[in-house]
Amino acid sequence: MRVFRNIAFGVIIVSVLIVGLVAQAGSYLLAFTSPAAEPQPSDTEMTPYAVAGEHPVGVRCLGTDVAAIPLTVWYPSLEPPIRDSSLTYAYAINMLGADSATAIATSEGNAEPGAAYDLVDGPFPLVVLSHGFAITASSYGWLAEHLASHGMVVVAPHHHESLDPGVLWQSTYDRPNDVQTVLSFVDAAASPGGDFEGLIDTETVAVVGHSYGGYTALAAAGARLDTGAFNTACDSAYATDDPLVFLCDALSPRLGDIADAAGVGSVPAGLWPAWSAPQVDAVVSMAGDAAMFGEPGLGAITVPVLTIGGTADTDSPFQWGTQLTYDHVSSDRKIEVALEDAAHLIFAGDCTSVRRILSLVSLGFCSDSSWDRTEAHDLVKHYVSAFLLSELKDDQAAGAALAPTLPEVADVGYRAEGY
Amino acid sequence: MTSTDTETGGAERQSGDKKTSRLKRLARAAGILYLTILVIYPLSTMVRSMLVVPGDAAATAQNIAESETLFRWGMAGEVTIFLIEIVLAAVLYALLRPVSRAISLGASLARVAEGVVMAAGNVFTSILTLVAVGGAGYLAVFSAEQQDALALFFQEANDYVVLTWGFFFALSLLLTGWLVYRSGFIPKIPGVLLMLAGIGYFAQSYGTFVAPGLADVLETVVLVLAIPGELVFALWLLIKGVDEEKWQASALAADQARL
Repeated sequence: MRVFRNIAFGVIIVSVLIVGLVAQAGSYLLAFTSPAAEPQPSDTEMTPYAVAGEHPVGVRCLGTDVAAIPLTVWYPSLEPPIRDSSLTYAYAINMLGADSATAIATSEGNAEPGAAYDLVDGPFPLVVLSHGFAITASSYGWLAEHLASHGMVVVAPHHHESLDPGVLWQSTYDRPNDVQTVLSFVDAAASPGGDFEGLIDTETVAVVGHSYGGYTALAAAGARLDTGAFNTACDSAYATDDPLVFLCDALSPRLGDIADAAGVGSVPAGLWPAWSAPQVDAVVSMAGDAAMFGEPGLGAITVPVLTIGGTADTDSPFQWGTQLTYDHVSSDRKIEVALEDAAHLIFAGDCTSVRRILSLVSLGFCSDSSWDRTEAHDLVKHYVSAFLLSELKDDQAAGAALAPTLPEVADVGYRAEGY
Repeated sequence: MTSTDTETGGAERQSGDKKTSRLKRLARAAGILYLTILVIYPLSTMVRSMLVVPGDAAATAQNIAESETLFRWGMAGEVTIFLIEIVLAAVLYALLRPVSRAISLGASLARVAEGVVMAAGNVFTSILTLVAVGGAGYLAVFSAEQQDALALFFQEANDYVVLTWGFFFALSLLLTGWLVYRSGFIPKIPGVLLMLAGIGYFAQSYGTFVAPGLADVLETVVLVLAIPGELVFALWLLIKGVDEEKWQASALAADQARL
């Protein structure tokens, strides 16, 4: 009897010890590292639009008490921020639920929360920024702030989704709908007497997105789902075990649900109705998904397109996203930027301070085997800013910076038409 | 030997046995209480780590509002810890008193002070955070962003409260380590390890206040120094307890010295 009691006692003690040690390790590994030293500014001789613009930037978060969908708005403001680093952006993912973001890294920003709108130099073009699937809008603060400094108002809707591939089908319909909702809200708010009066020019609009946000941007610009093209792409992917099978698994069995949500009735055999917003003048897709559109669906896009991707992307494979988009949009002006050997999340948040576990285990959130994230972000800032300035503000110098005849930037593949 | 002598001897033995079993119980209680803290504390801090986003007020406030139950469980863990700390302080005082009554009292008072600062600081700032994200009508005088900022303000203050109780905890560990080292009824090694843990906590609290840039390194230092000391001490008390004969001798010597 005594032996059994001793064994039970030992088991309990060992169990408690294991729980305690695991909890201690978890607590330590989940904590954030101190912010890393300021990264060295990259050489911007070849990428002049990677440098911040002349406008000080403000930022405001609008809840559902103000807008139909939660929004974060970056805008040119009247006065420079009081401090150099006035806020922290969380690079976060909705892991636990659609309304509960888990931060994996943070970075410093220069936008001033609640700063006064610059109504003297406005109104400014509108950029709708669509975040990646289950990634928060603030994860893209680095890009939004940069665009606002170049004289654009960036409005980022918070798409309501959690990190569950089982709900990707829902986002397929909800996201283009969210863009329409945002545009309607901004249109009303920019009218006389509205909060954005004099700040936003709602006649000049671009949609920018990363990953499923890239899909969202393309859909808003006119791309149409194509069942036949998607099925063909998936057949090919299954045959070759292409990473596209992830998207196929998530969407193919749920096309009927998407059709129901969209009120289309039965699943169209070919092209679906457009979910586009007619106001959209230009579109930027960063590692955006496009296989569901296929060649015919992408051909419906006629506005200028900038498509950027990493050639080592296994989440939204380059050939099924970035390359497919460039090859098949009907736009007169289009650009493809290929970051050689870059992966999918290179376009996500800055990682100045990260959870310790990420500095021990590379999960791809903050590390890329071939690229320094700051350098990659500088390239993205350059191309996106130059493209949007050229298309939305008719900036000739910016357009010239996109000419395919310019010297090549290292580790960047570049194709362009119309510049 | 008379029958009276026999009766007296029996009573003394009985008293000695009682004391022995009381000592065993005390040591075991201290071990269990210590281990309980070693499990609950990291779980509580893990909850905070998951919900609080350094510098991002909106995300922090939203996370806490959305996971309020989890946040409250984290608070409950902290409350449990400071209640345990007070009981543990008394138990350790009773165990280590024969070595030095004054220093044992000092170690226990430092441990109680740690618990009080934890209650007044960590738990209170968490309560204020909950009020800030609670959306009470009178908070409408603050904008939503200001309410979020309040929530993060209290949570960031919380980090400094941890450093503040760290001073008291470090002192308690140093004194307890010294008492264990000198005791003779517990091996010297746990004493040395406890003193190292105390030095680690002192380094973290002082170091982070003076040189915040070293916070990362200091957190690793405290983890490496503190866990072995506290764990070994807790397990020793739980499994081996104290050498009762030496404890009795030490207690007797202390009593005689006091007389």
